[in-house]
Amino acid sequence: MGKTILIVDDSSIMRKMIKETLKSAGHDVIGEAKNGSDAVALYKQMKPDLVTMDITMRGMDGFEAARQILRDDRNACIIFLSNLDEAQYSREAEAIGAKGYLNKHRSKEILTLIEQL
Amino acid sequence: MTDVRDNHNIDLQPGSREHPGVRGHLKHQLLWCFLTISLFTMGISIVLLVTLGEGLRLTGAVPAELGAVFSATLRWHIASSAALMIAATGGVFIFLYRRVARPLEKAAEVTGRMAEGHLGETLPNHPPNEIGRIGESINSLAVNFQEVLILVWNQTDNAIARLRRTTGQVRPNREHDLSPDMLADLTSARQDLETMRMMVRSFDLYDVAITENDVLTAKDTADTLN
Repeated sequence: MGKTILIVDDSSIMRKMIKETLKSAGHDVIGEAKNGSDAVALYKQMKPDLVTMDITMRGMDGFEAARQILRDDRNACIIFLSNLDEAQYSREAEAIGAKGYLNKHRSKEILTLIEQL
Repeated sequence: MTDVRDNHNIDLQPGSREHPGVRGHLKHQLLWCFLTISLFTMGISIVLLVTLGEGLRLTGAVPAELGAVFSATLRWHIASSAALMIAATGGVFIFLYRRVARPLEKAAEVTGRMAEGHLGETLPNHPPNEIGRIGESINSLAVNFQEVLILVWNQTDNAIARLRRTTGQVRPNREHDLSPDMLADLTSARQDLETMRMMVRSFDLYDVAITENDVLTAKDTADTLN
């Protein structure tokens, strides 16, 4: 069954690409945020099954937003989608409590990861 | 490494770039409009003040005493109306300067730096009108452009690695399997990829720094350098 998903990315093109990928697999994108603070507010309001989170964003970054979301809801399911060096930042994502870290430009792999959750 | 900006002789000092064919500033033009309207209003008022009383006296339509009172009242009304009009024009000038000219001035300055490759620049998304929305759209455009640049960087990185593996596998033992033309094509493809990477590196990105091997946050890059 499809999940309800909140996409967080400051790039509108990336949000569009991720949305199309997720919708093609039957998931329901219920919200989009372009910075961390919007993401935290939307998460509280929408309680999605999953959040795809970028790291570098204008305003609050993805790590800080994930920390705040997980502080409010320990069961929040967050997957980082970033174009930063995976080896370096996936450790930090894991330490925060994220369910995964993927390269943004291979976003189709997120479908496999979602199936495994 | 050659910076592509060098090829166009662009001065990267903020605010130093002259735009050929673009002269003047909106705030100066607004100020001139304000001064012209104010001077015109004052001129008309002075002419009316001087001639109106004289005209009343000349017509003899009203008694002299009444005419003097009427003339004084009329003069007061003309003077106060002129003052009000100048003050209102000043108010409109201040409003237009704050809500239009100043944000546009800032937008021109920031977009100029963005055009020179500084994608880390951000336009304020206020005032809450079309100008603010233009600022937001330009920021969004810069973010999307940065995304494309990082995609180019990552994909060319992968492609160069594949080319290295291919040529590395072939060259030591079986170099003769590849024709000179094919080897030249592989070298040329690699050079093209390097050129694309050089172009990407000539941009300053927002909160992201491209190092020799990785894409890191600007903060982590600074920490690494220290």
